[in-house]
Amino acid sequence: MSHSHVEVRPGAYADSVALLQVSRAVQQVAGVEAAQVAMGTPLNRDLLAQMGFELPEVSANDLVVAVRVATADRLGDALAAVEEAMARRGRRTPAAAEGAETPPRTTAAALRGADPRDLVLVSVPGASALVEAMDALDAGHDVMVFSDNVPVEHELALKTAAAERDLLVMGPDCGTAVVGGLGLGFANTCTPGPVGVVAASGTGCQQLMCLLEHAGVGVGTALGVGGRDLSSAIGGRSTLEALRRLDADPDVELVVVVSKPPAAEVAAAVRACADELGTPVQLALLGPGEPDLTTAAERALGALGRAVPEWPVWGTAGLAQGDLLRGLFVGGTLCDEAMLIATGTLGPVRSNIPLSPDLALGPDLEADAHTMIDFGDDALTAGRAHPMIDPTLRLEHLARVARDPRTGVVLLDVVLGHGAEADPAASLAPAVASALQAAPGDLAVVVSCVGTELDPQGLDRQVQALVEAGAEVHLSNARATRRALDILGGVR
Amino acid sequence: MTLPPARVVTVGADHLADAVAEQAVTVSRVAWRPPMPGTEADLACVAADPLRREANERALAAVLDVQARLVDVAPAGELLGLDRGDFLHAGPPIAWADASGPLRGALMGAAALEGLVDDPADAATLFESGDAVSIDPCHHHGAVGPMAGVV
Repeated sequence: MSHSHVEVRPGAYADSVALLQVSRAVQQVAGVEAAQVAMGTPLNRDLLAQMGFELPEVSANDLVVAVRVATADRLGDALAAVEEAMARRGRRTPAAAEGAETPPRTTAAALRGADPRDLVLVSVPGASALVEAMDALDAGHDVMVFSDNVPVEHELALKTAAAERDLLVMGPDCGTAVVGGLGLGFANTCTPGPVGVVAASGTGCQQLMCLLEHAGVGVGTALGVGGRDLSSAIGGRSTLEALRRLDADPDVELVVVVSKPPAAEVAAAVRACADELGTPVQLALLGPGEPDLTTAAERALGALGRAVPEWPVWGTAGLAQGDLLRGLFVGGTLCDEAMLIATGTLGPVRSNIPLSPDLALGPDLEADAHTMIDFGDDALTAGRAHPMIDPTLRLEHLARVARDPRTGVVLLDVVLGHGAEADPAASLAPAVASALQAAPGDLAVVVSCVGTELDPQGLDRQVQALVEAGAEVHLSNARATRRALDILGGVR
Repeated sequence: MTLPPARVVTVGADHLADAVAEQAVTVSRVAWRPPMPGTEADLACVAADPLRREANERALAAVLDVQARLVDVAPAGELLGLDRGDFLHAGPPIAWADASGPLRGALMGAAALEGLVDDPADAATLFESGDAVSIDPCHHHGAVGPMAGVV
């Protein structure tokens, strides 16, 4: 007879990524059937109810500890595991090493007497991001807003205030930035070099940086601006400031702007700004009819008078028996790029981030068609961590598509760098191996691995594990996609 | 060249703060808590108001740049036009039923001081009934009161 335990801790708070790690740790304890440690938000309350826990009245500001154990005598161990994991709370550096005895309760308090070069990194829930980011601007500091779901009027207010003070707002929904060699959010480690990047796309920026790094051309600074910056509503406010910043840096010989095609009047403003700069500016636009990111990297190399290397490929994928392409991505821009390339050859691709609304997938993410899924999309990250941190959902889908006899090629991306999983291949390589084993016929697995040798995970080590599992690995996502199409073409 | 920040102040996920700390850059973590549910948009509205900074500076200056000076002593009732049984209190308008313990206690003590009751404990029924007593914010009368603010 299993035993359920629910306790509410009013006023206790921890961020959702940390609590997911706590929940996972408790789930591993012997005798624990189910465990969830979460804030009492409506979404989490539903989740706990679905798990069969009966909840008292709780608010979003209450921490809920819910554990079900096989027998009541296991409860002590389970709750001890909760305490231990809560004490660690995902932070890998001891709090004492950071020197703060009483941590500040607001961003403004943390910035009292600060060095003007201090940067603020905001990743609170989107509805609360403006208050913290405005504290940073009021104190005269640049700010990166990693948070997503920030209302567009909040973004406009922040960027208007920043422009008055010559400050930079990176974001909102800014996944990647590199400032003077320091990676923020999800960022690859590169050799400092002559290219500066302004990016409205996180994984687009990462792909570009990694390709350039392989070509021996470093990116010293990559300023994220958020996916909406070049829309009419925002008018490219952060892009214009970022361009001026990079122009003022004498080490930057070329600026590359990575973005979806901007609104016409914003494109004109960016172009006008770029024309006044001493540093040449290239636009790498992401969209139908535009060159892919690998081509953008090649153009940047051309502008610098550098040779374009062979983009590396490791391993060789097998044959394909099924006739459908199944893409499972953690990077939104990488998924988008693969869809744009594949649609030219295969026709329509169904997706949760479809190129047109009629191609949208239902909630089960399945269709008897070519499909590409972005597991980093907001709808799939509600209540769980980003797939670059928690691969569970994608691994489940990998097993599922591999069993489908119509699947011919599985296309995957792996994104390395700071902020990402410590060892993505540790779970993905065995999953690829079992997918290949479980497949009813011949199956090809093609992977794009966005990373550098300098990344904490080590590009080579990750690639080796994936190749040994039977995958073919590319550094270029565009090349990986074209290779997947060629393999499928052999079938059709 | 673009220099890395001397320090990164992080507010939000510890995971991202860890990634900065692992690059040997000093991190200061804000012990952030979510605001009361349903107040996020109101807080953002205040924080985004372009007049806020200047208004705060003016308000603070109005407090810090002046020195209070005692000019006279007189009964509050005479100066503020209060009748017997009229009480002022700190904060926004509030009914007896919603008043906090300290505010109730101050009103009950004041009722005894004014001679409306002999024992302050008897004042509770007086304020419950509302007969022959009234309560109103000090701010409506250009006044401030000590402690629970009762005049």
